[in-house]
Amino acid sequence: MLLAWLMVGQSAQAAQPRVPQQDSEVVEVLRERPLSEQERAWRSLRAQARVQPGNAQLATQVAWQAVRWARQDGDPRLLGQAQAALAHWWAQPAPPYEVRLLRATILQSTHQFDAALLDLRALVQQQPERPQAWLTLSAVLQVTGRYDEAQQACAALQRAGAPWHAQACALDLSSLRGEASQAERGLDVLTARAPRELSGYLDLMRAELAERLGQADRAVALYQGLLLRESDAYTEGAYADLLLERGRANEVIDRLKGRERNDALLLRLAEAYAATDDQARDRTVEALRARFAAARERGDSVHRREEARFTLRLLKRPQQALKLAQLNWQVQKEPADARILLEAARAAGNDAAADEVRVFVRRWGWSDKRLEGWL
Amino acid sequence: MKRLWLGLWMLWGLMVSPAWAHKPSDSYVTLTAHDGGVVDVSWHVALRDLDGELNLDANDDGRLTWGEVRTRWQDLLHYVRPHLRLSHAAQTCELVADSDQHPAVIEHTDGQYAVFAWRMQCPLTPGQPWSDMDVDYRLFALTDPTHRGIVRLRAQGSADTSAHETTSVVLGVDRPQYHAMWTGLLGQPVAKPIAPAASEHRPPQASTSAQPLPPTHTPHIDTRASQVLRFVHDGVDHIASGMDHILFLVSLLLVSVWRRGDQAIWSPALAGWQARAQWRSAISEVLRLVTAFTLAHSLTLALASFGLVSPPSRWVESLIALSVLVAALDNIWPILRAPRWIVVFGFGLVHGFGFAGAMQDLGLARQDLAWPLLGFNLGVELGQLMLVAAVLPVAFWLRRTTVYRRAVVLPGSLAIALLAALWLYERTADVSLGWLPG
Repeated sequence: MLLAWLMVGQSAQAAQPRVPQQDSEVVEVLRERPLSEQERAWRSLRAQARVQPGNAQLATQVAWQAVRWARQDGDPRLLGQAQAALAHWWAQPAPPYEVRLLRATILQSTHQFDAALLDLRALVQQQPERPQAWLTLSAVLQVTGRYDEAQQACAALQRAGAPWHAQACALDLSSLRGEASQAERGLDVLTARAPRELSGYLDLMRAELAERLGQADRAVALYQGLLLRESDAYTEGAYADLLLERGRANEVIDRLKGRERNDALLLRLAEAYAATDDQARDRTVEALRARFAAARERGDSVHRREEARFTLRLLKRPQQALKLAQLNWQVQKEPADARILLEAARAAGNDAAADEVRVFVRRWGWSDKRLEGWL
Repeated sequence: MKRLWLGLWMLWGLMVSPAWAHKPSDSYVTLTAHDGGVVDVSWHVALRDLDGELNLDANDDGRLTWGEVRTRWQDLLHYVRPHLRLSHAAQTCELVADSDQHPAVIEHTDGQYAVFAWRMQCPLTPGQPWSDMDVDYRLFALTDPTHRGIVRLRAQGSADTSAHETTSVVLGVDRPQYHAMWTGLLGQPVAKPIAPAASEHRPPQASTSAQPLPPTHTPHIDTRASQVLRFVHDGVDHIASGMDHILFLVSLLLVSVWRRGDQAIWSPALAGWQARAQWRSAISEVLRLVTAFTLAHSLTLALASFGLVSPPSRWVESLIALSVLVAALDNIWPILRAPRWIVVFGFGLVHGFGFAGAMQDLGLARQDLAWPLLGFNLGVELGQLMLVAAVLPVAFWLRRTTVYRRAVVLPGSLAIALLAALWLYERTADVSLGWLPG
């Protein structure tokens, strides 16, 4: 067969090992800044924790810091390191309270929602007066579309002595339950009155709500304010999405160039290149393709929302994107999840494949201007 | 405790920000077994991970220079080496002295990796065949339990010019061991050096924990047979879900039961066509077309898959749309001068690149591609044959009727041409007409 003579060669696409010529050549950029004092301190704390494997206080300290950095940077390696710090208890059915709370946080961060819920429900039963578990519980329930139970968790937050968080939690939820405009006013009032520490939390809610209500300018202002204070990968990605929707792809390129290590941001960058017909488009698409393939090779399915979006908008393979979006919808039910499923179903010429979303949206009375064209 | 509590409130964002945004930590191991119990180890480990463990960044500036890596190479080797252990029939395989390769790096999707390579000798007495080998992988087990080693097992007997992959397996804390069968090397014919499915069995579970959580992933093992089958399935699936490929074939099939006489290009639609009298004549026409198409797309599929050529996907997709448009229009007016099979061969070349895009989506870019390619091709053929089997008998049966001419071929070809024209616009202008199927 024709193939026979071609089979001899190995894949020419794989990179080849190389030996750098100069000692001064930078072979890897670990971070864009020198090691901070905090990171140095964390490393020595981790070393201490390793020689005292049963010390829960040390272990949780190490793990919380890693989880916090994982949030800023989006690097799951840090979540793995947090998990490592808890190794002594990780497999136990009922670890100590603090450890279990951390375990739940790590599990939900890697989208293992069922396992996280198991821990969180046990935690709130064990000590209903402590708010953090309620807050995380309400958030997981909201993302997975269990609004009634989420509402109860918000109420419990009030009883646990966290009234500001309870109100924010309830308002955010009600904005998804047919009361978007009221929720918007409520969040404005809350922002004015709540302690400053909560402003980031509230502004992100308000920005996303403004987007759903079709108030693009307001959303832009809120995102810009957030990003001036502290840039985390999630907010940066959400803002990029808004800019892409508004046809401001050039700004996305300016903002995200240099942050290609983050796959979620690279996806937005690729869409921006595609929108501006930039010649970097093909190269970026190839890089993303390789990254999704590498993730699949290790057996990961955490990133289906992004993969569906990539497959639909950049690879233009609607059937395949539809499958991914459907799998993703089984796991999480946020507006972005609804959007990609509706979009993929339409593109695949199979509108009915997204009927589940329509039922869900109607049942809860979501109002989302971005979804209107697809419903 | 108070301080920790304050810290907790910072976690609000974790919920809305799924922490996935990079690939978690992986390493890539290739084990190549040779006759006589020799195993070549090639191991790519992320510099980022090694730095986390051994603080390679001597001046802590966040930028790792080659000097910082190279001068610590012995430390790196001493660190990684004990974390990968091989044994043959329960006897440990030993490092072959001075077999370490020079320090090098390689690029993977998420950064630069250190390349370690050395040779190991497993205890086989002369003439004793390879029986079974255990791989034990523990890298970063303490640092990061989500780390995985992607281990490829390959075999290369003295009669083989190149190594062939036998299986690949994902190892990590949940499952650090793998029991491999490498029958066939040494002492037995090298014709079938591949571990058959039946010879694989699960290694003993490393730890029995009462963990209430699902494991972070399910390790997968593909034997060659199941791999090929999977790609056959993917090939069929690609045909079934790729509307452009289907419509291209349908356009050809619609008129394959006819023969074209002389027809001027400005003549009325379908004027030149006459029904074929013989079933055999229709079949041989289809055979000619399908063979031309198959040969052409196999050729470009292979070229693209091995990375020898990689045309930009946008232009490939646009050309595919054009090919559908031309094929459909040619049904109505004779716009193509060359014999149809030559034209089909040309378009087959283009479609092959399109298939290659699909192949890469299946995660094949860096694997040994030959078998998957064969499987995928078989799948594509199978899908085409199913389509032929579905369309051709009906077309042949109806070929003389006015209904077929006026109500099937004419509107069918026009509809396909219209759809293809819209695709062409969509793909060249790179816009998305949301309502358009395809």
